[in-house]
Amino acid sequence: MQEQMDRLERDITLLSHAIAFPETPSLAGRVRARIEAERRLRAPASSWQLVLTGIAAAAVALAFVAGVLSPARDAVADLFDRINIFEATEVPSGLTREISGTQVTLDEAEARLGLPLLLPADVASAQPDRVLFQDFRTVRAAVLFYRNSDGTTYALFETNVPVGKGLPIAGKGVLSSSQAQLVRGLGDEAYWLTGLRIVQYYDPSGEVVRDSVRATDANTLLWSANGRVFRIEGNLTQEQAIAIAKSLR
Amino acid sequence: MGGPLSPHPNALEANDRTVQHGRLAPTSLREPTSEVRSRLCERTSLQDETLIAAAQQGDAAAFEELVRRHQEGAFRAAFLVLRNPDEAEDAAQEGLVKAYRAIRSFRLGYEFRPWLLRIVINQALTMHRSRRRGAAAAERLAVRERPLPHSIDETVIDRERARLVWAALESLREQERVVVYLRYFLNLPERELAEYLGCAQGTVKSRLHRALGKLREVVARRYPQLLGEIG
Repeated sequence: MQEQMDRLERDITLLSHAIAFPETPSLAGRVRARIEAERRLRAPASSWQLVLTGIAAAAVALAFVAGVLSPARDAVADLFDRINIFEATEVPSGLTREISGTQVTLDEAEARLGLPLLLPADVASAQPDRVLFQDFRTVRAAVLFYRNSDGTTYALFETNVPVGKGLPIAGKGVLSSSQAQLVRGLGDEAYWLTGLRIVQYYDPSGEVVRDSVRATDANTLLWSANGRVFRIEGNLTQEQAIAIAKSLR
Repeated sequence: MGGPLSPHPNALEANDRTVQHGRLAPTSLREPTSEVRSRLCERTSLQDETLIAAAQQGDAAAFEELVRRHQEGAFRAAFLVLRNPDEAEDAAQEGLVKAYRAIRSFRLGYEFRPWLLRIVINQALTMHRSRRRGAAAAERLAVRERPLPHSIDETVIDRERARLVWAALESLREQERVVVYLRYFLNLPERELAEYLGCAQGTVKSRLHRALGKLREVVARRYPQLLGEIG
């Protein structure tokens, strides 16, 4: 019996020397990415990840592709099922902060949007300084610029972005300095965003619309109501922005 | 034959969610200086223990370097259990991520490789059990009889003999099979094997002998031609 055991042991040894293992895949980078992703999802309470934990799906690093930013599939979370959040390590140098669009009248903006525009209830400030209309194919938006009597300025975005399941049509690239806070009591779902971010829209195939990409560090109130998405960007406090949002008629 | 399993400070249960926490290692080892931490990515000559200490402090770059050093062993161990390169890749990656989650439970001063392999192999075994549960009887048989998936140097061993030995190994019970893989295919020295098994070094030989004894029984029953030449 011992002879048989010795022979088997020899066979095993020979097999171990003869067998060709498959090439070892490079796991180190992937494991590191998983670790970093888990860490981001466990980040402190002030971070995006915790605010959005309920809807966070997966995390990836930012990838620049031909000068535009990571596409929809790189989202770490989404808002209203249609606006995805992805992580950005930096804002590309030279990225504009200007809000682009065609200057139009209020009536023209309403006609081209195809939806009734809501205006702040404060009569004194109801008429905007100027109006731009953005048409990024999938997304159209009327942008109403206001200046309050105290000198604060803001832009009210009224979009045709629908709420609910479907292809993402807008994205926000958040940096480590970006903050998000859930706002209660406004519309169906609302967030208060601060810090440097990247804003972009997607075309029907999911590709980034280049002309839509810009950076902003303006305080932003983002909310959905009656199936539509609204946004106020400007040098306002959260309370001021919420008051304006609630006054829209 | 084999002695009772003794508690091991770095032992993990079959399901590695349960981790036995050991005592804290000396502060000097657990807290590398910031200068060391900043050079971790560049200093591949650093000892495993230094990298482990940094990883225990949450340094993902240090753990990445550890993975780079040990990924071949981890992948091969998973491959031996699963015998499928894609599944082995998944198991190894998942196991390595779990190892990072459990890295604080590792006690410096012990061997890192057996600790890491235990987690990866447990992950592979879990996948293997899951696959078997989900397979039909015929498929299970096919798994046992699966031919050698990769090339064999036939100047070293006859191909048919290699196929039968490979099939016989698959018929062993999990822990017996793993002991053979670690010792003969991954060349773990007895010291590391003892840490993997959580037993005294002197017990390793008896555990191996027992595994080979079981293999001989399997071979005698199912692949007698392997023994026939000896008579």
